[in-house]
Amino acid sequence: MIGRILAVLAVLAVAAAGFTGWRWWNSSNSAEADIAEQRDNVLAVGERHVVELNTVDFQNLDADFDRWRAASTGPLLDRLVRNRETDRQTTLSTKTVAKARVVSAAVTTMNTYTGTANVIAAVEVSVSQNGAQPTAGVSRWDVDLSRTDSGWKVSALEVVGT
Amino acid sequence: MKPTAAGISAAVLVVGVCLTVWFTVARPRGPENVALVDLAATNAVTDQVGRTLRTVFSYDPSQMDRTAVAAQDVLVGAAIEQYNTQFQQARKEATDNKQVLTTAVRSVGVVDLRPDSARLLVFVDRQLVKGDKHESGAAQLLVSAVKSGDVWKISDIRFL
Repeated sequence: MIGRILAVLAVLAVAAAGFTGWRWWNSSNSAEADIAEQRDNVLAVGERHVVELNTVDFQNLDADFDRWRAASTGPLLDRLVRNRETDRQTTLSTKTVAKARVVSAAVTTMNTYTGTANVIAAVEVSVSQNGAQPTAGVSRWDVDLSRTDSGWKVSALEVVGT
Repeated sequence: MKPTAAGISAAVLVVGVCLTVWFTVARPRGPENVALVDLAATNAVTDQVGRTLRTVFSYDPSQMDRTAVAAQDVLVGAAIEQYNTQFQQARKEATDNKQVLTTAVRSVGVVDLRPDSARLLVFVDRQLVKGDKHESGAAQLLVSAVKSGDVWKISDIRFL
């Protein structure tokens, strides 16, 4: 008698394990979790790149320009490559040192199929020229990102002016 | 010792119960922040907060009362106190100097979205017309919103 009860309970336990296991597998592979993860990734990468692209030190130009190029793709990369010499002249002649910090940022759109996204960011940039005291201000950036073989990169970057 | 049928059943029972408990406890919850995950909710909060900012931060001398009344419905908590204090000042200047303020929303991004609270980064442009003088300014705001019923209300506005 006890043997029969145990057998029934064992079957029920296996069924329960099967059901909860299926539910567990479903939620660990949910599309929602995947989108949230991609959104957080796009935001983190966007914040990092917008800081890099607002950072320059005239004493360290080559490394900074390499970082700019590594952070960009498409039209922005073309522009940076085209303007490399003028950017260098301007930065050197004004002895520019710029540092940036993201105050707040958010992803506004993201298309995981086409691999495009847009991030807006309020960025505090502190700029010093010709050895003068740095002046700091918060600027508003609109950042387009594209997914490349080596991760998300910035394809367009512009100030949201008035 | 030969395994008995009862012994095997008991072993299967224990393993089954253990797995069930583990699958239930360790089950990953859905993402807490559903910004861009729940697109309908993301669009709703974006639209409503944008509209609220445009409405309550735009006024002209002939419609001060209407703006003030509208604001009471769409702001709550700290935001309504901030607003009412500033609005007293604005009302006086607006009527004295024929001052018109227009606020345009340039970009909105949802930083965090929960079932009944949200935080948004908003870029706004403000244009103030005082007689024949124009002043324009840009601002970036971190806006907190809470949901009451189907309506998102602004509970706090922080200038960045």
